[in-house]
Amino acid sequence: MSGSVPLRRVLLVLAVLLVGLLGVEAWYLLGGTPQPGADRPVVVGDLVARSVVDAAAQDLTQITSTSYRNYDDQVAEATTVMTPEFAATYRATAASLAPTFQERQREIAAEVVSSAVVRATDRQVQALVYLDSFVSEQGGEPVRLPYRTLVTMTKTGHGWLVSNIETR
Amino acid sequence: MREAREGLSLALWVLVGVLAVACAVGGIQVAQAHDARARESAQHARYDATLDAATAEATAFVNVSHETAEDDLARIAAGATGPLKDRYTEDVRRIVRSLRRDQTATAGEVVWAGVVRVDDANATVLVATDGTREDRRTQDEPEDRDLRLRLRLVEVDGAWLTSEIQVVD
Repeated sequence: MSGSVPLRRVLLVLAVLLVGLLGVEAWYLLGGTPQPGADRPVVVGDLVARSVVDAAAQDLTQITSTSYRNYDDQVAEATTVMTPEFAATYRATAASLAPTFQERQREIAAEVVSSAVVRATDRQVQALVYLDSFVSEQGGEPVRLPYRTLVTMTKTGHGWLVSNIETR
Repeated sequence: MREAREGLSLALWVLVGVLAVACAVGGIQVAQAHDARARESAQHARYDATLDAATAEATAFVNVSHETAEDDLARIAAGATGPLKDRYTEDVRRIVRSLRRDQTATAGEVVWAGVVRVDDANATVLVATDGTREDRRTQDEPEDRDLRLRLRLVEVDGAWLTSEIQVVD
């Protein structure tokens, strides 16, 4: 092993180059995740997207299945899968509908027909859910109402929660 | 003095060796990450491509008028393949006659579209549309026609084409 000055310089230069290469590798590996855009509506893996869409469909079923028998309890239970902001909006809407449910003894059983991912990032997922709602009043035969629903799920410190629901 | 110089050289050799090993490990990880990102990017591109194709096909499907029937049906056929394409190419005359006889005109737009599943060859896409339909039965008054559609798509020579349009009742 030689201890000559030229060799030490070569080793030093080589070390600097290798440090630079390590920096480039680290920059690539730690690079940011792709952002959604008009040409990339889904920027998460299939498994993540599917699991959140499934959760959205399940939460929507829970939220929309209600009965005059235990309306307040169901509303309270439904808000546990919502963000605080959306839960406040939902409580206000539910309160305005409560008298109608009681007067007409209305019961709703919801059933998911199909679901799909519309947009997805690691922070927010929008799911399109085809939902059948079976509405019965005063013990009568249920009437099926087909809905198209866009459910927005937002990732929070408590997991994925429903942050908006649009229905047509 | 000489011992100190040799000690410095040894330290440099060790440093270069450690850095070389770290670079090699990092290089392998970069290569693996590059492959994974390429696969993810291709899959993300498929979501976009299938949503675009399904949206275009659904838009054509809900916009058909007896006045422009041939062009409207040709637009559906252009985005279709298999039995769906056959239907809108081989049965055109019969469908046009039916549309003209009933004075049928539909109009609509896509509200939301989402992917149920997609791989490199097949996709299933849900498309919700809002629109109207008018014909002799409605006495030429537009009636609401809001649909829940499920489209099956297949990849053909780099393009996503619709092989089936199902109205989900």
